Amino acid sequence: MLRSSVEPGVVLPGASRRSLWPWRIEPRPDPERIGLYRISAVLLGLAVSLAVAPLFTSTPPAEFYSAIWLGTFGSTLGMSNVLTIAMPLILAGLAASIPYRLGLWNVGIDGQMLMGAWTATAVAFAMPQAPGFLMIPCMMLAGMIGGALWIIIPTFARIVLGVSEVITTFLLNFVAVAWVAYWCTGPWYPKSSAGGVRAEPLPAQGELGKLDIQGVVVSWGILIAIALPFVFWAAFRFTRWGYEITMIGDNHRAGRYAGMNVRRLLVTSMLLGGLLAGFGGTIYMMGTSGQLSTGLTNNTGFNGLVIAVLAGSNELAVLALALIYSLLLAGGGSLGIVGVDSDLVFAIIGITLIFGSFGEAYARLRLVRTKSSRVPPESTTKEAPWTINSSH
Amino acid sequence: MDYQFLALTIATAIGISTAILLAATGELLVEKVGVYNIALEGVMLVGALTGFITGQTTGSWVLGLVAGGVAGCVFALVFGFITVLLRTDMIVVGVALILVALGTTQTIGSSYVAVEAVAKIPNADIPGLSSLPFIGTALFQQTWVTYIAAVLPFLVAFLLFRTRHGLNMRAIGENPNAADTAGIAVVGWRLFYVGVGGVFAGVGGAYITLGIVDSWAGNVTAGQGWIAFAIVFFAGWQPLWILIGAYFFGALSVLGDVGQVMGWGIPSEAFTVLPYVGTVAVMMLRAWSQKRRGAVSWPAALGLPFYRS
Repeated sequence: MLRSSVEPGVVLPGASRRSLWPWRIEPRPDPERIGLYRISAVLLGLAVSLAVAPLFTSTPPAEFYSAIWLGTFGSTLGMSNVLTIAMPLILAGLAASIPYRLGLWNVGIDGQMLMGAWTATAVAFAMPQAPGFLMIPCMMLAGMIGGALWIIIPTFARIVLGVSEVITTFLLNFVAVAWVAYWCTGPWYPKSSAGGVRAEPLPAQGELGKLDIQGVVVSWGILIAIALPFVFWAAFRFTRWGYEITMIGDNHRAGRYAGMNVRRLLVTSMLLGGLLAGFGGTIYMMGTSGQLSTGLTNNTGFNGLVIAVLAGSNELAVLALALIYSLLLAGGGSLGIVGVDSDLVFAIIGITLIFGSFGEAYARLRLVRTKSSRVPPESTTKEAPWTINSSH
Repeated sequence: MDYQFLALTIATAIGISTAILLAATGELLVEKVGVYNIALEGVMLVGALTGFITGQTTGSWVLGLVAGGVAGCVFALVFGFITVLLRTDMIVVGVALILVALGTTQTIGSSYVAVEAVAKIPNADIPGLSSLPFIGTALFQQTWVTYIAAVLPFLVAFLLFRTRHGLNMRAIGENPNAADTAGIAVVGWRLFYVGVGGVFAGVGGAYITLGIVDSWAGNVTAGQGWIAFAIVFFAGWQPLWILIGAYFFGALSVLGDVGQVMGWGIPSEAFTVLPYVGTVAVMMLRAWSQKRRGAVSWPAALGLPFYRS
């Protein structure tokens, strides 16, 4: 809202019509194969950043790469790690991907995971004598509810008041961390404290059993995590709900004309995002440390968001990218053995993502010469159809 | 609680708010032209490390702050180049750059961990005012950076609402197509202010390592960039509310510690949480009241890529 509008015809200071740079970036009229460009650029970025990374360390490249290899495919422990990391990451990817289909950003996945895990822990502590076959489903259900509840306020603020869900979902992460920290240091303070902000361990029957596939040990939560992307992939193709979401994601107005309840679909996709995140936090807790802690998610939510955007509304791509991402995180984690700060892997991931952005920009934009153009440039008054709706 | 203790508490709250205040003021300028730099946390980290290393090598905190500002500017311009010029998604690029900043600063800065800063920013008592009872201790025994940071929102308010330049900035943030028609180089202005915001955040980051914690550690900013980002929303894009918001956030984080020392029996997490809950609540209240009046407080083109139509 402007207090005084700019009058037409007034030459404003600082304005220069004649640009020194005789080129102009404009959208391609018919962008094609955006996903292909993006994925190729991501793979290229991965190769480049992995090749350059040893230069930033004092470790010989051979040791550097062998550490990454041993931390991933090179050992059963490495593979166990990869799958364990993948478990919450796949769910976080889905938790971001489903709202993203409607142009909604779920930036609060870390908080929803923590709140899911907190609710599940509360349920487990409320029924400490219950047998495992009763406790585990109750905890999972509680985790889903906790995660979904944590996204209700941002959903309400977005749908009813029009407040950007980007900032509200994000800020609630901090609240969730503080909430969990309070319970871990206060009411659930462990009797034998062993460093870090961790709660009293869960009752033993509340932990998920382990699968052992030729030495690769991982909790059976991974089976659910791998199955869910297929379930949603099918749901978006073969159910009415999925069809409506896909259709509205392409064009809100068309869906409304077709008689769809857009608001209801926005709400369900947001709540589903929170639910999946809460479930992810819960099974990760139940399948690994078996105790609630503030460090439980370790930015899994952000990584999931990134995966969802790169995957571009395709649940199977979410699964594939989450697995690749887990390989990177597990490989990076093993760098500590050769004396490299394991946070270097964040830089590798970040640079890979930036390459992905370049690839996408290349697919969507072109450079046009502005001088001496005999043919007038094509009109692009229509709003670009791929403009992500990040309005508030 | 005696008066001396209260005065010192206020002084600490103002002191530790400085970095957040600087970064938030810069971010306001960026958002007024329609861009949100989500990578603020990363920009501050880069500024923090560069400022610290420069301070250690040259022994001068002034050069440290300058270097932090320059590094922040360069890093923010990377963000600006990718999002403003190439029209890619600000959230993805922001998250990516935060990861890059986190990874590279940890790796490069590993030899500087747990080293005490040689060039600490000294306190500069304002003659006369600093010897006033209570107020002197609370307000006028700060560093120069803190005084300047406290004045900046007023200058920004003047720039935005009292000058032609500021009118152009707001035009770009509200309606870039109209601004473009009026002859304003939208992309150039946006890039320029992303760079300016980077300078502010970079100096803020350097202030953390040279003026607040006096050392470098991995992820030393510890979410201050995110808080600065939130304050801009909390302030409803009003410069003077940025000042209030930053001091409010600073005061709450100090109150958590004070509460533990004094044994108030309130968990310190309650104070940690208040700013975030407060921001969400303020945004919702503001949206609710504006919905009835049919106006919004954020720049209408915030976060939308600009294509000439």
